[in-house]
Amino acid sequence: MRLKASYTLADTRWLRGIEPFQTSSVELTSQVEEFDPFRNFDETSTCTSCRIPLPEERQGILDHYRSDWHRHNASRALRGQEPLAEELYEEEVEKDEVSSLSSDSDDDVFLDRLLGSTHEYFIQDGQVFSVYKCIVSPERPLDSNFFRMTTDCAIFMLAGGHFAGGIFKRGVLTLHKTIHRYTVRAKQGGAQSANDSKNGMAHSAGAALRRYNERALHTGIEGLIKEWSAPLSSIPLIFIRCGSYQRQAFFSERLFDKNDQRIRSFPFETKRPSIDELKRAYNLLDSVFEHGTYEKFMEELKAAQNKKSGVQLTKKKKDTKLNDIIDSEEDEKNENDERQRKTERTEKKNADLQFDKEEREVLDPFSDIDKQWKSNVYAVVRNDDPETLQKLLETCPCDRERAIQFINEMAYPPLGNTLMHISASNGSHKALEYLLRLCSNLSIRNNNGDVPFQMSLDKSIRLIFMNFRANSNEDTRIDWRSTHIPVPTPKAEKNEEQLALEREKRKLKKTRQKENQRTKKAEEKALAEEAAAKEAWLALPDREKRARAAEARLAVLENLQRARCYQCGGVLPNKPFTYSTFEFCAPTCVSAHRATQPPNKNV
Amino acid sequence: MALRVDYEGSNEVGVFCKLTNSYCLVGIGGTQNFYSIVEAELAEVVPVIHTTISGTRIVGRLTAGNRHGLLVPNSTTDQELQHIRNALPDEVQIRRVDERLSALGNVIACNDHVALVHAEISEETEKALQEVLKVEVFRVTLGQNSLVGSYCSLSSQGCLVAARTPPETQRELAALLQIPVVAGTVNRGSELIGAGMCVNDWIALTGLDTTSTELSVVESIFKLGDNQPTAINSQLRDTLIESML
Repeated sequence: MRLKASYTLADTRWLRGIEPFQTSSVELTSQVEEFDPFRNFDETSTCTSCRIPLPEERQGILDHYRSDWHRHNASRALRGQEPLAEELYEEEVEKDEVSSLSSDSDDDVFLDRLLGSTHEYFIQDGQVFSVYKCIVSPERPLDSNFFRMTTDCAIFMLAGGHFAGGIFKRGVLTLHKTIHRYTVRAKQGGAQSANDSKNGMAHSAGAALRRYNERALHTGIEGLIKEWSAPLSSIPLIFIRCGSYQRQAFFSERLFDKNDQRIRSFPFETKRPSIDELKRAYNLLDSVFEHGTYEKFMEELKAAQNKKSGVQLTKKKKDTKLNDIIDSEEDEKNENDERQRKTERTEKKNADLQFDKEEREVLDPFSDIDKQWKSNVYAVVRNDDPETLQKLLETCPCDRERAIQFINEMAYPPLGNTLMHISASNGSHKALEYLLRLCSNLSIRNNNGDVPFQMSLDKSIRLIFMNFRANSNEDTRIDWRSTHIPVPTPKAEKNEEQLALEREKRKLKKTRQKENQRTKKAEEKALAEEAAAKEAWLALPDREKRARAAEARLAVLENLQRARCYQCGGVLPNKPFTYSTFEFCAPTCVSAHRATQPPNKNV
Repeated sequence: MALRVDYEGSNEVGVFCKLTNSYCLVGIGGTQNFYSIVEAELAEVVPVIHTTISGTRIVGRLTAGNRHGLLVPNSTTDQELQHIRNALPDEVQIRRVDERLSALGNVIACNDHVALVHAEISEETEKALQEVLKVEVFRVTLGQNSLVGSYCSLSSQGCLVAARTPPETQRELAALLQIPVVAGTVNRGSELIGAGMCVNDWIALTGLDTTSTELSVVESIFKLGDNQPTAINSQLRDTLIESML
């Protein structure tokens, strides 16, 4: 609530008198009467909520406990209020329709809570005004005499090494004093004492300085309060603003008493302590706030209350929608009567709440179609039963066009799924095929922005959509791009034969691959063997090599085996390079061999 | 017969267990000790259903029920509802109610004929009580205690209310219920009667701390003892003796 300080307490208009402000016209006594077990001791039993003797016969008792009067009194008893007599209750109901329902009777309490705790309200000439509650005290209650006295008070503010104190008498700052000391840690912020208690005593020069200054500030304040003790003793209100860790500056056995009734804190924000700030705070405390006429003010309060309870209302609405969905899934036994009850209830709610009704109408554009028929259609699609759906279409209470439009476009809460979405996501093959033949709208989106194709449960459902597109791809009435159904390809129409062929192909490919791998392995093995043989040949002395070569030659003759190079061990060509008795595969091998075996040396 | 049991070291058996004449709900997660006692006493007569309500095991405080039906709060999941429905006998109805005071066990105390309810439960819940539990509904407060389900416990035979319930309220309850009402405690002086015990027409389960005095009060008000005076040895006694003479 925005507040406007329009008058001061000293304004002469208040001398005309004021009335107290009440949210309800009944005077509520908040005192709880103590139960006395020995009072009213007689044998007849009473209704303890209404304080009336119970009727003799059972039906009378039942009727009483069902009455709104008893319910009203029972909820009053919950709040510790005295019961209302029946005539009084009747009057109340007639006068301003107090609550035949228990929830409505919360209003008074709720309004009181909305008014807040900082202001005290009063009425003059039908206008609502308020003053800060903290300037009202038992010695100076808010009545007409309240404004005859001036707000004399002492104000002390202490924050971050700044202190300001002053005494206001008859609206004038009669005494004041400000002190400033360096106590706040530079750049870090926070008081030195706070840091000391957290991290241990710091040993820097600055820390010592700040510690000293903090002590000096406290002794300064102490000295000031002692000096002002005479004027302070006659002051009715003392306002103190300080951090919780600085309270010791004001509250100790030599200064203020913690339980002093005069001490208050500020109900508003204050800035850095200074003389100007003291004056500003005093002016605020000394002002009266205007809230307009009583009726307007109550309206505003009610509006604020509705805003607060609006959150709960929308939540409730959502729940009923959800319940509708859950209901349909529950077993058939309870389904019908349960739904009937639900709809009855929602109808009742609609009657109560105008805007709820409007929203409901927006939600259901097919309100002209019979409800039972609609729920049957839904159930049939859920049960995947196209034959019954066809029958239903024939026996539909409205014309066929409208019925098909309903089937195409009805979006069910909470996701806004159409029947097409529902059948696709449930995997209802038959119903989906039937709906497709009805030429349902394929590109309609639900609240998540999904088209029916995207809701497909599995491949088979997607196949149904794709087949549909394949069959009616020429149909230009349908915007195929927005349906998200892929263009029919031969792949999409593969039959069993083709599938088998493909499978065979795949098998062949696999065997080929396997063979390749095997040959590769064999080659590698052969290479490795060759290398081993080479190693072994090179390790032999030349004599042995010669012997082997001879053997090889013999073998070549016999087995067509080949001899090897004397130098590198490679297989000799048909016509090897030779010198002396040696044989080589290449001229390089010859020269290399010659280099190790000087020619003059006879081997 | 009244039994002392404890549920994982807690005395508040009425919190974790809902006992009626046709079924018994117990919270999942208790010790085998508790389950075996309950099942040994009840399993042959009524189904003992292990369940949670909205994921918690305080089934006794969240539900209200009797021989005819069971009310569960709106926060109960579909799965739990299905499980309970499968386990309950066919003739027992179950309904989920959208009630602001969602701990139904705390705000509703009922036997097979009458329900005492908190003064501010919704009309829809009241209607559900009449339809599902087939009871007469009375909005009452027990002195300063508005949570009737927590502070009293009733069967078809009697009603035990918190010790500090004023006598005039006790007389009122007796008139409404048409059964004897007595004030007492369970679990060594606890006033939370409904939370501290559960009872049906033939058995009562109380916390392990219950004193024998408290237990004898429970047995006598709910008429559970084996040595209850029968008609033969009380009212008809004189007549019988006279006829023998």
